[in-house]
Amino acid sequence: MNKFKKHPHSLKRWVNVFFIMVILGLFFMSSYIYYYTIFYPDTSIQSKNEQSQNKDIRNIISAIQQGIVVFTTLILCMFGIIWYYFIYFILAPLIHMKDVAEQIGHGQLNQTIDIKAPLEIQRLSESINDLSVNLQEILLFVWNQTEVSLRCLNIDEIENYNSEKIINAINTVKQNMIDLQKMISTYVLYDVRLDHKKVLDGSESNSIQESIKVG
Amino acid sequence: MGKRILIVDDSSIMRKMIKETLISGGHEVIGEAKNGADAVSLYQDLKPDLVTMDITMRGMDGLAAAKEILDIDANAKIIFFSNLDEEKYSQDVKKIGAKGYVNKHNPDQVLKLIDCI
Repeated sequence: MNKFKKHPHSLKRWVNVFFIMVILGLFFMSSYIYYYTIFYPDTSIQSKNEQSQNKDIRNIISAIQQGIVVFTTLILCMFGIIWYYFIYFILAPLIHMKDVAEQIGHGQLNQTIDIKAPLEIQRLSESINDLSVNLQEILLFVWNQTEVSLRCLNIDEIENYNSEKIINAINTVKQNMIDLQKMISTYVLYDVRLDHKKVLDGSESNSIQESIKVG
Repeated sequence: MGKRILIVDDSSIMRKMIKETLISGGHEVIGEAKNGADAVSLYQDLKPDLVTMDITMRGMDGLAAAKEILDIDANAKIIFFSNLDEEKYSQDVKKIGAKGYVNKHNPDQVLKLIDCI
């Protein structure tokens, strides 16, 4: 198990290897059985009586050969369709999602996953898009709040403020900080919880939401 | 008196924050939509007093969704929320027939605008 964790295998490679082996295996097995039955029985060394008896056996074998051809063709077509479905509707969307998720992880929030895939994979892609959208909104919120605060704290202007204006500026900055903390508190964090003004160990409390307060 | 409001925003975090702002202002949030298509569908089902519409949404944006809602109900009250400092969309908003346009990061301005409608 640890060996697999360290060196994860490529799904695409294993899927291709599996289907190629199954298809080739089926093809060669069917061919072997088909050609084996062509040479049974050897009629050149038999009497006329034996030859007429073997005529029925030859008919049966002929029917079996036709069955092998039809059956093998159907099975190969079925595996071909399953292979195509797996590559284009499961693997390709997953690879696209992986690529976009990597870009989002590197800060390119303008990337969106847009795929057609089975329901579960579609939902996964929507969740990744939601993560990216939320991250962008949080960043813009932080930008907005800090920008308003910076304007209040403009030294060139503050020098000319009376005490009332200074108090208003301080209150605006304080409110912006409170709003920022409110936004952060909407998240449930890993291994920590926010309680009043402290960041505490989250493992002590099961009801994390009840502990989150912004003062 | 509190209004029955439908929130439309593709960010679940922003929907949550807008909902808290509206509830603190005495309003009732009757539905949430994460894209324009859901907004149109929910509007027809819920018939809210007011719709708060994020302009920049992936897929169908807020302007297109508002046009569709106003085609269905010409008396629909829609206010647009934006992240932008510039009033880039104010002309489009007026043309569509929406009731207002405000920066979504300012709860006081949001509640003030809603009370004016």
